[in-house]
Amino acid sequence: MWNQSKKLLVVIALVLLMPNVGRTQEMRQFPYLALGINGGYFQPNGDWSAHRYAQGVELFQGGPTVNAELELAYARVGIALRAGYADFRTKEWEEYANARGDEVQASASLFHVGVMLKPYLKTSEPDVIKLELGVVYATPSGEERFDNRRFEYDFFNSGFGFIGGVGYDHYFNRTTALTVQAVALLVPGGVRYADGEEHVLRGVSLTLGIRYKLP
Amino acid sequence: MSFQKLFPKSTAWYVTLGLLFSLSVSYSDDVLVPVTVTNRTQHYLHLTLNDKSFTYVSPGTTVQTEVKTGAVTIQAVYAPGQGKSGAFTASHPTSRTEYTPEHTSYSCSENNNSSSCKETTSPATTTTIPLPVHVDIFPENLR
Repeated sequence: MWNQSKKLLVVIALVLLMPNVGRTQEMRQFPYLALGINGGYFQPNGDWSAHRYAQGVELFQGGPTVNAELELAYARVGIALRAGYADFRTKEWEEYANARGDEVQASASLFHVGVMLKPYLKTSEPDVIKLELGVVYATPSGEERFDNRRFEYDFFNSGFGFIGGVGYDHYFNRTTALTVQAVALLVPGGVRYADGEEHVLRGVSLTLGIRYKLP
Repeated sequence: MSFQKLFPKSTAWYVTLGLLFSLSVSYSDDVLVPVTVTNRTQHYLHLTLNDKSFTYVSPGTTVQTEVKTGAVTIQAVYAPGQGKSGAFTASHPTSRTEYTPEHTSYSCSENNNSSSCKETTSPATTTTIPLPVHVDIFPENLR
């Protein structure tokens, strides 16, 4: 994970340091539609990802994430439809179980769709900064294969959640920008075991992508 | 013909309400039977009740689901990584059928010094009676 984060930070630094020679600051024409696609890393945060009885073992670790947005930007605020997917790694748990003689194959993921509100903090191109606030419907799911049987992770619960964070766009030309998003996702009651133990499913994602203003 | 002429505003409103109502009504005839399983071991279990999974069921916990009438297959294994192995499988009927044979009854009445009798035949019927299932899983059940 650290290596992936380092690579991402290097790319972000390169984008921020890119010279603006030959570019002038442009005022954007509002309203406009923009399509964005981002990819990066999602890191679970909090006790929901810890294994129930394997002390110190994470059942779910961070993994790759992608999201797409269609935004209608008007003046200093944008409204976007968003869909996203994050894949959780389960290697730590599988290795723990395998070391105790149990062959386990696990997988888990999180899908969400929602509506984002994006108040712009800085609108003058080429550098645009905005808040990323949203309400999403999240659907976590997963399964474990063990003892020649398949067990679905019934403790995952779909429900409404919240997204909050910051986005940065760096425009190369009038229509295309490189984007960076750092957001936190919260899904209350996203994990609920049969005995009533409940956790907030939460995590942070750092993603890099492309944003294109539709003509 | 314009859309508004074909569907006046008031008609469209009733049609929308009707569609929403029909979507919200379920026409299923299936009777659902409660099935409960209690983990009476000192370890975490993975359970399946027909196709429904319950993972990491802690000791003392009861899980519940509903199944269609017929039968339920309950499977349990020790959850991995606990140094325990053992599996349990059992099937239980979730309904029984009661058969009532065809029977004929007579009813007679007297009127004006004459009597008349009427024969009534009830057809044979079968009734499905749901049977709730509860299973306790003890360590000795997991072999």
